[in-house]
Amino acid sequence: MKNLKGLVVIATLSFTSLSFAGDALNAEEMLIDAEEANAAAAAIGFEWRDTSKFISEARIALADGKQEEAYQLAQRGYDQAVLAKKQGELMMENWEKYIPM
Amino acid sequence: MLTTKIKLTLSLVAATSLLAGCTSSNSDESADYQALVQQDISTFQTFFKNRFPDVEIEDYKNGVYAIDENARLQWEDIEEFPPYELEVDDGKVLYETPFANGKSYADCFGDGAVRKQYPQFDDKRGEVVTLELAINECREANGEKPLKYKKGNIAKLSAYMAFQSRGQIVAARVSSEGAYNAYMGGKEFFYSKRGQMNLSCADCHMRATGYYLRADVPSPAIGHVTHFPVHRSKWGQLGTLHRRYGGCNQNIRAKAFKPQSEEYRNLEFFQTVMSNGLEFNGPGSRK
Repeated sequence: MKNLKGLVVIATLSFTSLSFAGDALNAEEMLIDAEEANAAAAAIGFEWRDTSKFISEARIALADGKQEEAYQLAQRGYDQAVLAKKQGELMMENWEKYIPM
Repeated sequence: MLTTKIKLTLSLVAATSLLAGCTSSNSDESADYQALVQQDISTFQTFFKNRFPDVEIEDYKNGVYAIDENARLQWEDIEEFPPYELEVDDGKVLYETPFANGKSYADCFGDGAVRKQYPQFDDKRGEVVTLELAINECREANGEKPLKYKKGNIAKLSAYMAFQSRGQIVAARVSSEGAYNAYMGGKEFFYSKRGQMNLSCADCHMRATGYYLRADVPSPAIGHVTHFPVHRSKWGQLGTLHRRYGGCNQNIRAKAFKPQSEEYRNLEFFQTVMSNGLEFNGPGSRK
């Protein structure tokens, strides 16, 4: 029974530690994705005001070991960057349709 | 895509000229670009004539005060003792102070009454040259460091030169393919929605002008360039047009471009062309 309890504790700790490592990897990956997406939006002149701030804050959070916070901030930056790029592509093709008459 | 459209449009214009038995020459080509732009000016100014039928086109040099009677009364009171007066005086001193090499701004700009010459498209350089850019190029040509573009001495110098130029008529010309491309770049910027708020310059300064956005009425886009630099109560000092562009972009949660970036110079060029026929009356005072 004692062996079984020990096994459970070890398994739980291992799982938690693996899960934590997984989050760290995801936060780093999300940060890279956000940076790439924002660079793509900026390249066509449609970067949004706060995106790079979220990315910078995510970078700091990651350095401080705050994986979840880093992930959330990077995700926010990524979502903005993707929308900004879509906005830019839409405008580059369709801006003349928005001229008021 | 834009280039293709321009080429197609010009091809049509060229074909029409040939059919009419015209011989092609550089001056004909120049006239064609100006004709394309003239159509835009007419459409743009007609929009405001329809939007505010009681406002004379000439009065748009006064910005939002052309359409907001209550704000105009307050502004006229402010203009009795203009808040930019001392800054214009500072600008005059700066203008007349010799550079280290003994020359001065007068060697570049004469008496300073050159507002109507800017912005202009420089065909040799292939870019729009604004007054503030020319001021810094004058400094650098005389061994001086360039000034920062948003406020401070550049705004004071620009204000003095605008003051010297009061009464000049806006007459920006688009007379080459390069100038037309820059103009179209500015036009595209003006009508493109950007930022998290998904708003274009036209959304606020054409569609929403005359209505309240929170506590303020957005100014009409026509005449935007005539009265800069302006002394804004919010700033407590003079600021350049590109400082204002940056502020507008920040307000709609778009990342602002740098002052004197190609994007803002092209935008200024487009807006100036749209204000052709109005009077330069800068510097101005605004809320």
